Amino acid sequence: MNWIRLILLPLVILVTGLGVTWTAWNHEREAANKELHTQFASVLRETVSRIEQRMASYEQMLHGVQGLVAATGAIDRNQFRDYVQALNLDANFSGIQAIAVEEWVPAAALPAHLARMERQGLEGGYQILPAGERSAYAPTVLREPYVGRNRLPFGFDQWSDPVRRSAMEKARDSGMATISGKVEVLAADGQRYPTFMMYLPLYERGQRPTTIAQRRASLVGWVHATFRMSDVIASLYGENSHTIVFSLYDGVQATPEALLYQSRQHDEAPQATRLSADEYLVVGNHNWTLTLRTNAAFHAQFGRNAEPLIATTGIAMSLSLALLAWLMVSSRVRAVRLAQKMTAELRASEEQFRAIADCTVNWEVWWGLDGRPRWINHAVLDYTGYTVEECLVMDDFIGTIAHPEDEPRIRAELARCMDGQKREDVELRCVRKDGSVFWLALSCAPIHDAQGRFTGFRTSSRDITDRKQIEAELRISAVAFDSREGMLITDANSKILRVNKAFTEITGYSAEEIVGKHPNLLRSDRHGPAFFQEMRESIRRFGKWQGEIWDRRKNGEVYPEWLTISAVKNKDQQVTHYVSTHHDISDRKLAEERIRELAFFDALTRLPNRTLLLDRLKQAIALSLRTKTCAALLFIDLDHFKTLNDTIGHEKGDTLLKQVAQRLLANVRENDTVARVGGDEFVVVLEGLNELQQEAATQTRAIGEKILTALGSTYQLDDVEYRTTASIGATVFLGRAASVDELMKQADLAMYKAKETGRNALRFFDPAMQTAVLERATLEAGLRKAIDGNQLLLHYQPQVVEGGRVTGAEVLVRWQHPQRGMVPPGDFIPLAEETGLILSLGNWVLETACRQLATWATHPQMADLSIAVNVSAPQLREPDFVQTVLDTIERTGANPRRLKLELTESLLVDNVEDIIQKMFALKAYGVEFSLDDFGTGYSSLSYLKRLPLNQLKIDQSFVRDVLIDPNDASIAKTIVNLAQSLGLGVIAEGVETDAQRSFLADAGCHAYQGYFFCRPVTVEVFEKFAQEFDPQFSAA
Amino acid sequence: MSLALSASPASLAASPSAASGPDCSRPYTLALHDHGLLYSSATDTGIDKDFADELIRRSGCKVNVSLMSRARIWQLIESGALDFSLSGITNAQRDHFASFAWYFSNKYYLLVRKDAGITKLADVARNERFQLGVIRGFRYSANANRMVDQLTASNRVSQAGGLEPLYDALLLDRIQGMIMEPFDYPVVQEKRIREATTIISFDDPSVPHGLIMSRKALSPAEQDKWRALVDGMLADGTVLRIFQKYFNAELAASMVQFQSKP
Repeated sequence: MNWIRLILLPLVILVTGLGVTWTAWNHEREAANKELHTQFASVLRETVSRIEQRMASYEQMLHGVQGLVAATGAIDRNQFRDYVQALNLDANFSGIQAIAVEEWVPAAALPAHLARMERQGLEGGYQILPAGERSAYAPTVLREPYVGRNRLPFGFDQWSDPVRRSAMEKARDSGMATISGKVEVLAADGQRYPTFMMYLPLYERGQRPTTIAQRRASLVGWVHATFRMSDVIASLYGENSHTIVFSLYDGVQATPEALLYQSRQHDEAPQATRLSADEYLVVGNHNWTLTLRTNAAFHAQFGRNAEPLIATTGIAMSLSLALLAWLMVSSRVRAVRLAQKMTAELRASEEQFRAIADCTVNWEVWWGLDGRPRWINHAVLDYTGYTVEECLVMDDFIGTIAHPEDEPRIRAELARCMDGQKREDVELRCVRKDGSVFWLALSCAPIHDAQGRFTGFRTSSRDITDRKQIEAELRISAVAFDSREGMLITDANSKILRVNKAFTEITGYSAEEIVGKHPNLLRSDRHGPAFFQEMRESIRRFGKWQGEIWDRRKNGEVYPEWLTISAVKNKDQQVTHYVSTHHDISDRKLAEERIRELAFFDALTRLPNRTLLLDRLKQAIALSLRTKTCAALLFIDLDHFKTLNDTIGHEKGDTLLKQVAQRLLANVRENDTVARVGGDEFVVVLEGLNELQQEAATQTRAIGEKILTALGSTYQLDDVEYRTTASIGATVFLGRAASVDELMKQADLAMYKAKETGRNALRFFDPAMQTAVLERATLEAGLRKAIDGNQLLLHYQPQVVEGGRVTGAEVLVRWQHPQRGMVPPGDFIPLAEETGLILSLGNWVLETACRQLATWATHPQMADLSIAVNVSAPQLREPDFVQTVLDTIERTGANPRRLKLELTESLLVDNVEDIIQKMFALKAYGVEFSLDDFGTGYSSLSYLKRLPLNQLKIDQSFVRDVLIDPNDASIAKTIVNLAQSLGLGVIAEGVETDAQRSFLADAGCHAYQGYFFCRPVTVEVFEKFAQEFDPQFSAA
Repeated sequence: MSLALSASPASLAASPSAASGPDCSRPYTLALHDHGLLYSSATDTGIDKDFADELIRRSGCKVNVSLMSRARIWQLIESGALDFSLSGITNAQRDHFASFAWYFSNKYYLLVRKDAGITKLADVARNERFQLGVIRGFRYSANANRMVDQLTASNRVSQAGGLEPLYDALLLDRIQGMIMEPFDYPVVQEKRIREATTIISFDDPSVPHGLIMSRKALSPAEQDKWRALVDGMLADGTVLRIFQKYFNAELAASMVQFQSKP
């Protein structure tokens, strides 16, 4: 880019200069041309004028002769001679060869003429030449000078020559001098010279003819002069002919025949630059053509040779200006070079100082009186990144190097240096070439020359960036040190060097008191040597330790603090110091305590919560063990609290609980604990009872009864009066007879028992209960295993119709316990229902039954048998009951139409709608339903018509006494009728005798199930029975 | 050259106009130049000759009439050696040394060879071969002068002392054109020239021609007197009669009736 700018201006100037030069040169060329033309025109004009003038004077001369003749009336030879001599031909009228006179001799006058001529006695005789007869003659009768080449014989007939004749005629008719055309005359030297004559007519004396006729009549002759053109011209041009070249032609055409005269230089070849012109002269009634041409001499004389001069001058000037411009534009580059040169010169004279200065690491600058650096040492490159040259040519050295924020200050300082003051350690920031910042400490001193005059000052600077950084870091540490945390600094031997204010505040030791001492001063006795050993180990290994420690203040108070210890290492990884921070966490601990406390109490009643209770219980056990006195644990449960809460609302419920708590507290002794462990569950711990368990129990009962009474009285809940009761379970213990958990369980169990037996009572824990509970638990576990692990099996009790056909079977589950043998269903079914195992049990039964159906489907004899499965309430209440059944059917591949689900009446007590829906859902697939134990439950007859039942089962209680009790009989009959009228099937279960069967048959019931036919048996036995019993089966 | 005038003593004594006439204490000189109808030296006749005769008669002074080339006439008028000439036109330079009394005007024409390929004036500049012939010392109307100057600058003008060589040169194709005025007509009417040439008019107004008086030789008062003589000749139709001898009535009238300039 720079390069282009460098070239552009000079180039423009050059072009302009050349343009101007060309214009001037062109102008000069034109002016020169014009000058030449003008000169040429002038020469032409002058030439023409000269010729015309000369011819005019010749005319005049001939007029003189004419006058002579006219005056004398005759042509006298001697007079003529004298006249011509007088004319001084040779000098005034050079160019004239001769002057002659002709006599006009018509043919008639010829003899007279000849005679006259004879009389004159001319030399050599006289005769008319050329000889011959013509109509008229004009012979020459006089000629002067009669010398030399003029010595032609007289008598030459001019009239015979056409050229002369035409001129003579013209002259005669006009009365004016007339020039003839070109005549070539042979001279004595043998050459032919172009010659012309000028004729003037001579008329009779006294005659002045004005018309042509008059003139012709009075003609006597002519006088003529003969001119040799070369002589004429020679006499005209002596000195001027070397610049021009001209030719004269006779007539208007420049042909060689007509050429009268040609100047000598005409041999030169004509050039384009030469000027030329043709002019037609009219002289003596005759036309001549003059052609004029310039030659080299003309151009040399009149030409202006300024053109080359102008061109060269112009070009030279243009180049010079362009060069100048280029020099100016590139001055900066040269300025740098100049600066370099100056620097070199300066160096030459200051070499010794420089040698010293260059050795120093400091950055030296010598400043001149103008405030600009005069000399800079090499260190500037390391310091700033700029070279010495760059610095010297900077426009604003200070501005470039100094940091903008420090610039005004440093300028002020340097101004003081300029005044001759010394400055020490002026600190400033500087900016390097790459933009980075560094700190400089600058000192300056004035410089004086040999005469002691102040000539400038020098500055010496060193880089203090590191020092500044360290200073900054120290400041930071000082501030950090003064933080709110207590800080302690020791040396490598744990001798205390420094502590901060916060430390003093925490420990109570001031800096003076503790500096020089060992931190052991702070130790409390809360930690063993192992603690400190571990601490030391950690510091040694990792360089630090932190943790909670109990220290002792100066006033002896032990307090908790959070301590961190860090080791400070030097460059060689040796520990030089230890820095520890102490954070007093007493407040924190206190807070923790408070939190913990809050965690131990129930928010609503402010009674201890379970956590605390357990703790108290532990303590009670410990106390009991120590003092050998009994203690008691009471579980108090409010009766029907949940219902209460739902009825009166939670707010009132809470109020009630609060009041209960109050009453409990009021009814126990001081050392006793009352706790709330659940929503409506409270626990009381009684300590320090009698040593004997029996007595302790009595004491406990007394207190328990008191509590019951207290809790049974009316509660005022805002505007509502309320009464409630509680159930209490109590257990008495001595020492560590039982664990806390066991005691809790015992009391819980006792309370449960109290609830069972009617509530609002106190029950003591019975060991026997435990056993039952234990047994129950065992059985429960066993049942779980049984369901999963093939201990269960199904027994089938056939269902028959009149005629003995086995239609199907009801399946009953049996448990084959490995140890206990066959467990009666009455033992485990209720348990299953209580524990919820009934679901998986029921599913297992269903699954097994369906599988059996699927198996039977493959045997034609068995394919029509149905299986009736009992469905328990929990099963039926399951939301996915329908899906479970369907999945089972699908999975096993059983025919749903062969499946009969037996529901008990008691199921229909609540949520009948849901049951109906489920039944319909399964009915759609073909599953059948029968209602078991009909007549014993609470079924509403209206529900009966809504249920999609297939069958009613008459309960065995009616069947047993159908023959004995008429009520049972009529009931049975009624059921049958009902079933029939509802379109339902009916089957009687528990048929044991044939008489019963017979009765039922009479009543209309033709389907039976009971011991009379078969007991519940295994599937193999059943199949065999079915085959034997049913005559249909025999045909296999 | 001086032609002996048939001067009778009678004419010497005659002084037609009274004291208002020009001063006749000295003889005057008047030069004619050979130029077509204006004056022919061969026949010693012409418009200028008739005019000169009449003027001299009216002035009552002795006037020597001679014949010379036009160029010489202007030179001598300027130097004061010649008093009068006739049929002169003015321009800026001439006005310095000559005073005029107009008595006719005419337009200028370019006479060109038919085979020169010139149909309008602008063609002249374009035609490299075109050589124009003029009489030395002659100036014409503005456009004609411009053409002459242009061609002179490019060396395409040939000068001559008189009309005759120009006609000869034109016929010989030495020159291709020349500037002419109405009194060149007789020559133009010559069949040879007519056949070979065409005429192109310069679009200039007609230029007044008049008696040339040398300022150096005559005082302004004398000039006025002579001018008065000329005006008198115009007023009483003498000039018209002279022209009618040489031109048809229409042309004569158009040449003579003009706005005379002071």
